[in-house]
Amino acid sequence: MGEWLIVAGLGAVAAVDTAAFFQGMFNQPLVICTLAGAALGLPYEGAFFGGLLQLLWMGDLPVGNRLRPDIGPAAAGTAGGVLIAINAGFIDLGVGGLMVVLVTLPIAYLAGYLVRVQRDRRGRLARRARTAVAAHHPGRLRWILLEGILQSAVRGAVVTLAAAGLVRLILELPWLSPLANQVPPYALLAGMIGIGLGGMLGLFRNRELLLWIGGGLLCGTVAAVVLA
Amino acid sequence: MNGRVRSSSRFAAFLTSLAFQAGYNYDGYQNIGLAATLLPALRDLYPEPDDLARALERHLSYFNTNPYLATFTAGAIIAAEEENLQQGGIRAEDTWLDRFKQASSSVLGNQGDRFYWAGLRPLACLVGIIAFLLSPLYGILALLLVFNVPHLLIRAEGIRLGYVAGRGVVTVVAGDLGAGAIRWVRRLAALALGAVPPLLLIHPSTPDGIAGAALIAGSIAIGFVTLRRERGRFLTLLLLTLALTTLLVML
Repeated sequence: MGEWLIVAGLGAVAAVDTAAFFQGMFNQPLVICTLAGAALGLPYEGAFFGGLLQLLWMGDLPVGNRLRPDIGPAAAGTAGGVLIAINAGFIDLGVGGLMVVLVTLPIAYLAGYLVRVQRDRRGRLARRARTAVAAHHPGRLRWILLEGILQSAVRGAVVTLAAAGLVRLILELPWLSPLANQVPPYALLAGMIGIGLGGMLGLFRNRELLLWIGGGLLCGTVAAVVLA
Repeated sequence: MNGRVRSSSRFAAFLTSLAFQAGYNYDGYQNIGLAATLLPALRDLYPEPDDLARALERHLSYFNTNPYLATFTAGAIIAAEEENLQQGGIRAEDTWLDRFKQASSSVLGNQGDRFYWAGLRPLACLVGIIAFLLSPLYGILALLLVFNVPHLLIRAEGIRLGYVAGRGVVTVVAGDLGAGAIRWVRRLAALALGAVPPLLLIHPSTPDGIAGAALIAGSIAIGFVTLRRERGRFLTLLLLTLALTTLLVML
C-alpha cells in the first residue's frame, strides 16, 4: 500500500509541475522515474526506465494546439507499477522496460486529454474569480490558484494509479511469462537512443547548428578517448 | 501609498507568477494567473476597494503567452498602472493596455517557445543525460539546475525589466538580447547533442564486442528512420560521421 502511495504522490508532483506550479522540469521521466526507483529501493532500474522514456520524448516540442501527451504522471505510473512488480519478483528489467515504453505512450496521451478536459471545466474558476473581484475579495484569487494546483495534483495521482494498475493487470496475463529474460535491455536502449537522437536532430536542422553538433561530436569523442 | 509600487510587492508578484498557469482555463486562458500576479502591486496603487476591483477586472480578460516570460508583461503592466495613476487615473488607457497585452503575449509566446522548448529544455535534458552517465543523482541535479537557474533568473528579471522598460519591454525581448539568447542556448544544446553518442559508448554498462556494435548500429538505423522525412545532405553526412566516430571509439 505504501508503495502505491509513493507512486501516486510522485504522479501528483509531476502533474502539478507540468501545468500548475513552478514548471521546473520535475515532470521529466529522467527525474520522476529515478525518484520512483530511489523511493522503491530500485534506483538503477528506475533510472533505466527514466532514461528510456527521456530519450523517447526528447525530440517532442510542447507547442501548438495539438493534443500534447502529459508524460510525467504516465511515466511515474508505469515505471512505478513495473518497479513494484520487480520488487515482487515476477518481471525482469528487459520485459519491464518494454512494458514501461509501451504502456506510457497511450497513458500519456490519455493524461494529455484529461488536462484539456480539466482546463475546459475550469471556466467555473474564471467565473468565480470575476465574482470574487467584483465582491471586493481579491485575496480569493490566490485560493482559486491553489484550488487549480490541487485539481492538477488529484488528476496526476489518479492517472498515475490508473497507469500502475494497468501495468499490474497486464502483468497478470499468462502470455507474458514466455517473454521472461527474452527482451535484452540494451536492444530497448538502442531503440530509444535512436529515436531520441533522431528527434533531437530534427530540432536542430539548420546548417549552422549542424556544425555545432559536429563540434559536440568532436568534443565528445576527445572526452571519450581520454576517459576510456 | 504615494502611487508607487514597493519592491516587496514586485517580489510577491514574482512568487505568485510561479503559479501562473494554475488557473488555466479555456475562457480567459491565463487571466486568473495574471490578475493574481498583479494583485500585490495593484494593492499598493489602489488602496480603495472599488478602485482595486476595477483594476483587477481590467486584467481578468483574455491573456495567453509563454508562462516563463509572462512576468515581462506583468512588470510592464505594473509600470503602466503606476504611470496612469500618477497622470490622474485610468482614462482611455484600457484600450491601450488590452492592445499591449495582446501584442506582448504574441511576441513573448513566440520567443518563449523558441527559447524554452526548442533550446533550454533540450539543453537541460542532454546535459542531464551526460551527467546521468556518471551517476543518476548527478543526472537529475544537472537537468534541474541547467533548466531552473536560468528559468528563475529570467522570471525574476522579467518583473524588474518590465517595470523599468514599460511598454518597451517587448522590443527588448524581441530584439538583439532575446535573439542572442535563443541563438546561444540552441547552439549549446546542439553541442551537447553531438557529445552524447561518444560518451554513451564508453559507459561501463555498454556491452562490448558484437552486442555493443549491434547496439550502435541499431541506434544509428533507428535515428536514420526517425529522420527519414528530413533527410538531407548535411544530415546524411552527420550520420556517416557519427558512424565513423563510433567505429573509431570502439577500436
